[in-house]
Parts: sequence; C-alpha cells; structure tokens
Amino acid sequence: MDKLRVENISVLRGRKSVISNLTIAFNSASLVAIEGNNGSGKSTFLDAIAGLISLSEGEVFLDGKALRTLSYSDRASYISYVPSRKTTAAALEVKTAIAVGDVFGKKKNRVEEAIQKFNLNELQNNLLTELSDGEYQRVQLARVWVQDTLMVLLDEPAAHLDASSRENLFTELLKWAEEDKKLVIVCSHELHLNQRFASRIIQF
Amino acid sequence: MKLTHSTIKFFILLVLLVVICLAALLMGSKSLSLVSLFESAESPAGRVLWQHRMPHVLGAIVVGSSLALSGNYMQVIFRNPLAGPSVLGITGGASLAMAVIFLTSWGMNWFLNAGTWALFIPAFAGAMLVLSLLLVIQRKLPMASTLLVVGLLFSHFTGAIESILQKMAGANNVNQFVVWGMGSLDNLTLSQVPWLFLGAFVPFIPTFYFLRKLNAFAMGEQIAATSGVDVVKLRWVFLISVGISTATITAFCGPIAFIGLMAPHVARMLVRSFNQQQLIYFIPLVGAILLVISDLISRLYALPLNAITAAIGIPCVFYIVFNPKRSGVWIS
Repeated sequence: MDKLRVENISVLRGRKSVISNLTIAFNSASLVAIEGNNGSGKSTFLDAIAGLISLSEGEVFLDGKALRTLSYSDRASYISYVPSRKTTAAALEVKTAIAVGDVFGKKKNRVEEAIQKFNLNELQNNLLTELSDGEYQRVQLARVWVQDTLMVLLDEPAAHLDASSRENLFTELLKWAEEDKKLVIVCSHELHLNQRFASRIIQF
Repeated sequence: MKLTHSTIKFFILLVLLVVICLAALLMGSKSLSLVSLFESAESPAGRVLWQHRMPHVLGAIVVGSSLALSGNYMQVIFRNPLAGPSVLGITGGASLAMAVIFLTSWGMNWFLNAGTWALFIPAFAGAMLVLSLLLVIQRKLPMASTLLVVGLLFSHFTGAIESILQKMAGANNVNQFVVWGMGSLDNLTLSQVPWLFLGAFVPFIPTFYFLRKLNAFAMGEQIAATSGVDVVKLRWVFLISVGISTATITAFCGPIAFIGLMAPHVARMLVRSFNQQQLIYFIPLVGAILLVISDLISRLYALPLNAITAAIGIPCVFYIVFNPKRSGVWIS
C-alpha cells in the first residue's frame, strides 16, 4: 500500500487554480525533493498533504486512510511538518519548542534525547528569537524527530543556511529516509543538493 | 513545578502578595493597626475594613489575576506581544452598552429604576454580544491574526457610536460615563466578590488542561495543527474563557487597562521562560500584585485607577518595544 497517495487533487487560492488534477503516489521510505519556481504550488502541495488547506477536488490518503476523515491527533501520528521560517518564529525557549513534538506528553525521554542528538544542550534555555538561522533549523528538526512520524514534510528548510549547514541538513534528512525508514518530502531550491541526496525529484 | 529557582520565586511572589494585601487593608484615609484585623465587623475600624477595603483587595486579586491570564492567552493565540483582553473589542462592546445607559434618557430612566445589579446586565450583554459575533466570524477566518483586525474594527466602531452619543448627551451624563471609563473597584461589595470570582476566574479553569497545546500554538497554527492540536477548538476554548472573564470584569469594574498587557511580560521576565505550563503559576500572581498596588495608590491619592495602571504599564510597553528579542516579540 502507498504510504502517501494524492488522488486527483485541485486547490484554489481565491479564483486562481494553484494545483489542478494532480495525482501522485509515494510508496517507499525515501528522500523526495520538490523543485519549481516561486508560485508554482510547492508549498501549497505540502499544505494540502499536511491537511492545512481544503481541497476543491480530490483526496489525500495516508497509509490508505482518507486524510479528511482523520482527527488532528491521528494526522499528527502520520505526518510532521517544518514550515518555511517566515511563518513559524515564536518566542518559546528551545526546550519547550522541541517538546511541541510531544504535544500529548508521552515522549518526555525523547525530548531529552533530541536535545543531545541535535547538539542543543547549551542552547536549550535560549529563546527561539535569539537563535541564528542554522540553530533555529536544528530546533525544528529536533521537534519533528521527537514527533517521530512516518512522513516528514519540510518547506525550503535550507533557504537561510550557509553551505556547510545545508549539506549537514540534507545528510541528516537522508539518514532519516535510509536508517529510520521515513518518507521525507522536501521543497528545495538547492538543485545540486537535490541531485546528490534525493532519490526522486518532482518538478512543479 | 520542580523544587528549583522557580519554586523559590513563586513563594517570594506569594509572600509579596500577602504583604501588599495587608498594606492595602491597613492603609488609606484612616490608617488601621494590625489588631483591627481581628476586631468585630461592627466596630468603626471593622466597618472600614470589611465594607470598604476588603472588597477592594479581594476584588483586585480576582480581577488582576484574571486580566493577566486573559492578556497572556490573547498574546499567545494571536502571537502578538501587545495583545490584551481589550483588543478583541469585547470591552468595547461593554463600553457601548454603558454609553447607551449613561448617555440616553431612556437608558438613564431604566438605570434609576433598576437595582444594584443594574450596570452589570448591560455591560455583560454588550461584551457577550461582541464575543458571540467574533465566534461566528472566526469560523470563517483561517488565521487568528485576521480576527485581531476584526476585533480592532469592532472597537473603533463601538467608539464611534459612543462619541455620537456623547455629543448628543448632557454634561452630567457624559461625566458619569467618563468616570465609569476610568475603571474602579469602588462599587464592589463583599457579597459581589464571589460572583466576580465565578465570572472572571472560574472560566479559566478548563484552560489549564490545554497549556501544553498552547505552547504548540505559540509556534504558529501550522505547526500546532500538524503536531496534533485541534487549533479551531483550542481557539474556541480560550476565546470563550477570555470573553466571559472580560465581560464580567468590565461589568463590575469598568474597563481596566494595561494589567492584561503588562502582567504576562513581567511574569515571563521573572521566570525567564515562555513555557505556559510553568508560567501559569506566575501570571495570575503577578497580575494580582500589580492591581492591588495600583488600586492602593489610586485610593491613597484619589487618582483614577486607569491612570495608575497606565503609569506602570507604559514603561513596560517601552521595554517590550526596545528589547524585542528578550521580551519575546514574535516575528511573523
């Protein structure tokens, strides 16, 4: 069964059609890159899979189940999401932000583990507003690592990072796909990194 | 709460509140001694204490802590550090209802014929009317920030109608309305305090269950929703509690400014945390302390309560504006 199946979906923003009659399936743990110009509908596509916007047509299936029939908590057990930075900065401290991946309070050990794993020990009491772009992105990765879902969506996670941080980010994402058997879908303008790391590239 | 610095800070604040409350009970136009706390309620000192000062102090604790919680929730839900209970237009709704009472001959006649609860009913009705409109509208709005704009428009709208009513009314009526707008705990009686508590603080009790989810909300609605939070339901729970609380407070005490805006920031700076699960112990305490002090100063110097809360609150807003990172100004 496909992990994620998008069946004939269309999305309207106002009167403008952003996605029309798109059908696509993802069936194995892999790193998938989505490329396309600004305004081509990449972010809208992620929003649609994450259940954040309503579809004018079509259906998204997670593990065979229709997305719109699932509750917020059920969806969160399948999909985690790192939106592009501009919409997410908040004034929580790092540790609390990571614990958002554990919104039901059942994975406290995993929060501690994430702090060590993503090398955030010294920053754990800093506010998100005090972090550099690279540090902020590490917190986001730690948060979705705590959430520990089959599918992870990331919207332009490398946009504000320097070259080595971008490389580290993609290395980590590839590890999630290969070792942790996750389906990682990333919208990215880093064409050469997409070529090197992704096992599938989708053009929008 | 772990037995840490936070626990110590919590108990220091608690002791501070008790000391300030004692000062507020004993200080005033007639100074009382500690002994008078134990005198009969019928003695001269007892009458001052129980009929005048006790309602002030208890009222300030309930109102201060409730306004502080409202302000905190509004700031997190709207991810706007300058949000407070008045920004949604709920106080504006109450204010408009009071304008109708004070500034029209029809309203004034009704007021003169009705009993002690006369002012409560229109203020509560006005506030709840705006809240209901907001709740109907919010179902159609995808983002909380849009609701903030709608709330501001409501405030301007009610303000415009009030100014028309003021222009048409007599000087005496306008005076009464303006005095109400200054906010005051003067009209509270001891028997009203339990009702104030029921309407202003009790609506928050269910919200304490959702604090972990509120942390997710602070990260933005997209992250909250994909982390498993039913964002629409959560917004409902918090807006309704804030709405009922604000309506009750405005009905009993008039619009009290700045406490709701300032107390959450003071609490966050004291605890050095934005974690709602930790802050929840501190925010009501800070709100109570700030309002008991403001009310005491207002009584001692016969100044309007809102002038005092503004005098304390404005420097706080300056601090927020000039220290955006440390005071947690959201980037959006």
